[in-house]
Order: sequence, then structure tokens, then C-alpha cells
Amino acid sequence: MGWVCVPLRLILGGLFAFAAFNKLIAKGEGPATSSGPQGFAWTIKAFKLDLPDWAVLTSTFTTPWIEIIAGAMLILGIWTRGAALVIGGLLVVFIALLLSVLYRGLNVDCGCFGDMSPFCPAKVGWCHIIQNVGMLAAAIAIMATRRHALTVCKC
Amino acid sequence: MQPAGVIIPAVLIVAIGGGIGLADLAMRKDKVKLDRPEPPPLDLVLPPVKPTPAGEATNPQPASTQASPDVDVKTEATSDPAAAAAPIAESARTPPAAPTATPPAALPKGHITVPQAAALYDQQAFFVDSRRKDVYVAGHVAGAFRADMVSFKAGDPMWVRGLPKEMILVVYCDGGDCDESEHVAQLLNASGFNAVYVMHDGFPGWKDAGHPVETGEGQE
Repeated sequence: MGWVCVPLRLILGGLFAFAAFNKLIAKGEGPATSSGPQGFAWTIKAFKLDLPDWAVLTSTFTTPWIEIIAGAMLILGIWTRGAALVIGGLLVVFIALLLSVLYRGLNVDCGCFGDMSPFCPAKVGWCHIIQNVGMLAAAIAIMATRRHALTVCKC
Repeated sequence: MQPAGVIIPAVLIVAIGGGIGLADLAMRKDKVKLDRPEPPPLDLVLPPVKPTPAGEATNPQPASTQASPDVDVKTEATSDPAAAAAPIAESARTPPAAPTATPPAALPKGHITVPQAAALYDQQAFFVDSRRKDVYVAGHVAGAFRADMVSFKAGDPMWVRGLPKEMILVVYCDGGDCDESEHVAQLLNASGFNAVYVMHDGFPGWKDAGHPVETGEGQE
């Protein structure tokens, strides 16, 4: 099972690192962008969660940093199951947010990967729920595996 | 590995990521503005509309988008301050409009008359038919693409994604009580288009005025 999880770890960790890169470093252009901290902050605001400004700003910067560290650890095999737990927790929150957006009928961009949208249309839809549920299943599989192959450490 | 062996690393990852994130926030906080800037006003100039024999057209009225009221559409008439006040007085002197035409002064915000739409058509504006497919196939503005609300369910249609955001869009349905054009205009506006207008009298008004129409599958 440890070897079976290697591609799952690489794909899931890579996707989270890619998503975090687009939220933290990529530069968005124009008032419709979802990339970079600026675009990610606008995306959070567009979800209309009635968050205070400090909470929007904190989420804007802490979420992608947690994503990038958890993604890197998943790829490298450092605290592998802990990293999978963090990513699984983030995915549960993301799925809940997306369902809330769909329930309220908001026509907003997902911003999951900044302005990139490799698997789904830019606007939030059921495709994003399926995409995140798929990634959650991968995270659970990694978490449930006790011995992982190709890891930097046995931690 | 015990459960604590999973949870403790997870907590540490969140703590490390959160700590770096907070430090990043302290450094870059001033570079992030929480409110999206309003799109810059467009400086569009509509050519004066020639009055039709039926007296349908009056001075074109500045129109702005429904969801983006800052769009600044100017007419040549409004360049003269004295003339800027003219539309209402003009429309009061204008003979009764043709049955299908709505006088400009009575139009809701963001709506334009058929002559104004025709002027935009001549400027290569992009026409969007928001009616059902079978109705579209039976006849539509020549060159118009079709997109109803269902078309936006899975995100913007492909052709919408390929359009430059500066493009002038004119959306129409059947005129009268139909509000599909209104909804589609708002969706297009939300997609980043600043100049989205609703042709108030819809396809019947366009056709009655003798403007170009075509039938068939067209494009969607």
C-alpha cells in the first residue's frame, strides 16, 4: 500500500503546492483576478461569508502557507499522515464553503487554483465538489496507510 | 503509529504554516485591498441616431449597464451641456412612437432602443440572443450568438471566455415582459464585461425596424 500511495502523494501534494503558489506568488491582473494574495482576498470576500476584514486577511495569507507546507511534506514524505490529515481537513472546509456558495446561488469564481482552473470551469459548480471529494478520498487513503514508501524520514 | 502521531504533526504543520502566514501578512498587508476596484468608466461615443419615418428615434439617451452604473456612455448630443437636457424635451415633442417601440425616456437603466442597438451593431458590437434555442433558430439578429441562463450553469460559455472584456455586448430576448435578457446581461456583467446593454424591444422590435436577421442554428 505504501508504494500505491506514492503517486497519490505526489499528485495531491503537487496540486496543493500549485494551488498555494497561485494564491501566494502568482500575479493576477485586473479587477477580476483570483491570483495572488490580492485575488485570493477578493475571492474570499466574494463568497459573502460576512467575515470581518482581519479574518479575511488572515485567511488570505495563512491558508496558502498551510497548503504549501502540507503539500511539500506530503511529496517529501515528512510527517506524511499528519500532512494528509491537514489537507483532508482543508478539503472538508473547502467542500462546505463550495456547498454553501451553491446553496446560496452565488455566481462566483472558485479561486481554488487562482486564475488557473485545470479541471473545472472557473465559476463554482458541482465539478468543484467532485474534484475536492476526489482529493479528499486520496487524502484519506494516505492517512489510512501506516507505512509509506519513498519518504525522507520514517516519521 | 498512534493517533497522536498523526495529530501532533498535523497541529505542527498548521502552526508552522499559520506562523509563516501571519509573518507574511504583517509584511504584505498594505498591498492587499479588500474591495475590488470599480471597473474604469468606458468612454463610448454613440453616433447620433437618424430619426426613422415612424418617428421612433429621438436623441439617443446615455445608457449604462444594469450592474455597473459607472459605465459612462456618451452621445454626441451630450457633449453640449444645453443639448444634454434635450432628450426629455425632445421626446415630449416627438410624435407618438411606433407600436413596438419604447421611447428612450421610458427605458429602464441599462436598456437601449432598437436604433441605438442598430448604431452599436454598425460599430461591431456583439449581439447575444437569450431566448430558447428553437426560437433562436427560427430567427435572430444576424451574427448573434445564443446564450440563455442555462448556458451559464457550468460556467461561462466558451465563446464568452474568448471575448475581450472591453467588447460592447447587446443582449435581447422577445421584448415586452421577457426578462431573460436582463438576467443574461447581469451574468455577463458579473463575468467582467463593462458595457452590457439590453435591447429593450427585443427581437420583434429589431425585426420590425427592418434590421438584418437570419435563421438557422447560428452559434452558441
